[in-house]
Amino acid sequence: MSLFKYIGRRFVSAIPTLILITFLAFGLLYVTPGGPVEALAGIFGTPEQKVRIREELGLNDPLHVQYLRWISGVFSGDFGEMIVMAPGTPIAEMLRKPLLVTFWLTLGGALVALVVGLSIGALSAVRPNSWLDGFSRLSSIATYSIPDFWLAIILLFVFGVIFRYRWAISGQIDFSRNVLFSLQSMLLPAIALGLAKAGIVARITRGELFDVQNKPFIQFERIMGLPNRVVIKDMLHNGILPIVTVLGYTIGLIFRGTFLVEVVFGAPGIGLFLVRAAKTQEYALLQTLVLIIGTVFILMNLLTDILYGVLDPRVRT
Amino acid sequence: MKTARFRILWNRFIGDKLVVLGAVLVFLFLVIAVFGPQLAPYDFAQQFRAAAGELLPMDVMSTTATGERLLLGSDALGRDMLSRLIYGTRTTLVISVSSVLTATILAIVLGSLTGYFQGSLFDEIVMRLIDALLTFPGILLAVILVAAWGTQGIQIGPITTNPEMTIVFALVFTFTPRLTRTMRGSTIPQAHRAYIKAAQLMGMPVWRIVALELIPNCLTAVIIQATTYLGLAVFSTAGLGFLGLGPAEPQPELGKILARTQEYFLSRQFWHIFIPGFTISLLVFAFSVLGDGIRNVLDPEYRFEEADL
Amino acid sequence: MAAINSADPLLQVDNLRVHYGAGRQRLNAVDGLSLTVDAGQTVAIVGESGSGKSSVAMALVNGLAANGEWEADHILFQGEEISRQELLRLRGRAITYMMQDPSGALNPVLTVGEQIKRVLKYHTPLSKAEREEQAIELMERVEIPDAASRLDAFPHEFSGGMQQRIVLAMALAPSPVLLIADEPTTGLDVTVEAQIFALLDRLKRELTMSVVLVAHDLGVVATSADEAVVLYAGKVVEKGTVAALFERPRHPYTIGLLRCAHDLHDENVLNPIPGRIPGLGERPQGCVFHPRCAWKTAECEAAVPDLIQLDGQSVACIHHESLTD
Repeated sequence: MSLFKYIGRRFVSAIPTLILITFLAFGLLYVTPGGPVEALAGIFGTPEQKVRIREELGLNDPLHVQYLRWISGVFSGDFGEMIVMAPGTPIAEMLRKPLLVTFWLTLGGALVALVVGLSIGALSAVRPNSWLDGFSRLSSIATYSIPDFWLAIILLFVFGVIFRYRWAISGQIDFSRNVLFSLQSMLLPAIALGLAKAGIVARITRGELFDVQNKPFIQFERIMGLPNRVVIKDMLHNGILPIVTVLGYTIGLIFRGTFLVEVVFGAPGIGLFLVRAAKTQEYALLQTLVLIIGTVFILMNLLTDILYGVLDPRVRT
Repeated sequence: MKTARFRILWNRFIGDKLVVLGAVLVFLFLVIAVFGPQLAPYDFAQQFRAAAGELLPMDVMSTTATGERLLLGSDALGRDMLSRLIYGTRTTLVISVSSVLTATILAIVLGSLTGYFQGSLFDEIVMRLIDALLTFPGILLAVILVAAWGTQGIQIGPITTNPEMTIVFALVFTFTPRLTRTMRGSTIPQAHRAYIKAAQLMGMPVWRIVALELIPNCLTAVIIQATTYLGLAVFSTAGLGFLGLGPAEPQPELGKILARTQEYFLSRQFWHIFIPGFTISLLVFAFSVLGDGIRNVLDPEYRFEEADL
Repeated sequence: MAAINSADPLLQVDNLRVHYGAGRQRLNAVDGLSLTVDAGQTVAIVGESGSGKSSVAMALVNGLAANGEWEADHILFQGEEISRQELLRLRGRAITYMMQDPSGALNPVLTVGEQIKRVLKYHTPLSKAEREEQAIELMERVEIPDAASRLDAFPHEFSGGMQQRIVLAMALAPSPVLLIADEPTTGLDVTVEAQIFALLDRLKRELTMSVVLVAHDLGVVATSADEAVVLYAGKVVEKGTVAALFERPRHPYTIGLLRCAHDLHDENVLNPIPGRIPGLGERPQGCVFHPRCAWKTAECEAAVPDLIQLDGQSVACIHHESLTD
């Protein structure tokens, strides 16, 4: 019962943040220099043209009217239109494919980070001070210093330029067309993304699993003569808790890295799209991205919190 | 007493080999940044031609048509790589350090005020805003802000800032929220201490209580966090530069230099791909290790206590 | 359980040594402690932190840290000589243990009911329904109000004193004959401390159980122990019946400890023993206590004093006859 209450409360508490995100996204329009008017009129637009455009876009209405118009559009799936890059194309349509590419890359990177990080971390916790432990410590320092985009360049150089694998340089990720080739194309970006963050996961996993062995209640369970498998189960349960919180954080880092790695591999995701859009200041596109990314991360934090609540009764209060 | 305490801290700091390495590296990078113009062999925008008379990416230890030796070769526009790296380090460092510094000062002010007025409407609004900003991981917010503002500089009234300031602003936005939260966290317990109550009873104005009594006693945590943020700032600055959202040409910046390395793929010049990335890694490594070291010195966690045996 | 011959002590351990690390880094934490616990008796092990008292408790239940090792010349349980492995098999059944810090001793992610029932599951032949009943009964026995409804509560929903009662319930679950309580009231209020000791005393009598009580507080020892062993820097400096020790302490260290305890009630005098307990690697030659001793002579630095048998107590001090309080 208290678990459901906790989940409900977490949901409710996410709402104000979500509303603030819409304010932030909406506000972007006003920090963009020149904004849509300059973009539409071009540098050579006459003042009269600009006045007309302002009128047409409804930029003279009071702020709250503009906000409500925008947000009601968002709820009906209308995020506005492109102005410069592909005039008239709805944003929603423009973003669909790039979002998917970024999603798959982030997922792939997270998978690599988790599999590599958790296994190295767990192994070095079981055998502290072994060569593996030393290696994991060193590699975790190295991996959080090495930028993922550099790692991507090196991988691309080695596999694409020296070995000349076609999939290595394709950047084509479209599971609706060619699943196998998409998987191959994802391999290098996912490794670049995941490996750079596996060090962090490994370090935290090792620390937590190592610490939990010496927790008094684990000692007490041993002394009370509980069977080994029961004690190990309890160790895993308690050791996994902090790792869950790191999970959300790691996925965030990988998502950020995806933007950069996409540029390296020429994968047509949000990152590549954003870089192109940045030069033209497609304000509606930026607004939509802020909204989407913000919402996705609010939901992800929510999910992490809920997972934590399921695993640890203490946070439910 | 003070010197004895200092000596203990110093010994703790010097005891960790890795931290000393980090400190030495940071010092070297700072020297490069400060004396960049004196150290760089050539101007960062000067174009050299290869022996063939064309603008080519030259490999390490090349000699130009006019007889200059380029220790690390040149980029695709014939500009001396070593000079660009030196100036690039300077740009990256200036942007990183000034953004962390600005964010820290902002965070100290915001954090101490929200902490002092904990539970007030002001506190409520600021903390909600911080929550919203924190949903964007890492430099994502900076990427979006730079994309929105453009790379030409921001117009504030009659003044247009220089393009580097755009990046600094964007980074300040990403660093301030978490630093503010930390500062607020260390302010709250102090705000209820007797010396603050005493100051209130003596009728001291609020700004004096916060500025002179509260802030000096709450700085440790925020300073530790700010130090660890320096590495992140270098990472972010280079990341933005890599995305093409860095300072405009011909100004060199480490991330920008790295982004151009794909131009060397055809000529397979390994060193050109290696060196800029390695420089960024070394810089991030130096700051991270130093940051960790400073945290360990100021806030050591004893894992083992002999008295417990 | 085999019938206990009341003439035999319940547990007797001769010449217990505990050390940490190995080779050059080997450090002796406890050096030659002998302990006899009679059935139904409470034996206290007293000392400052760093004296090695917790190491003794941990050694007996094989709970030393990974780099800790212990051995003893003889271990006798109910009159029979047993090996260390056999002693290990008794833990969790005939010998149970109460942790120092109640807030850390309970698994935070399981309900207290589950934790008590688990001990019953592995150490008693009870069925599932019986375990449920027994768990409630145990919680009532340690005076947790409203026990049946608290079974599904998590540890963090209890106060420190209540948490320690749950730890006690777990320790009592297998019906042990010996309970080792390692400073069971650390971090608890004075009033809660008194309640816990009163409870422990009552249960000990009701269940005819022996207790080894590790304590640093002589006041606690005076009210709830029958015998006491005073430990200093890993060495037994004095042991005997509590009555004898309090009547006439013979070792300078015990005298000092008692003075501290008495002076607590007199606000004007603060009379701690000067100096501090030596660390593991810095134990002095000769009598371990001599650097802090007001009565020390050249002989004290020369040789380690033997434990001298006297009436009702023994003392490891060559000057014990000339000492007057």
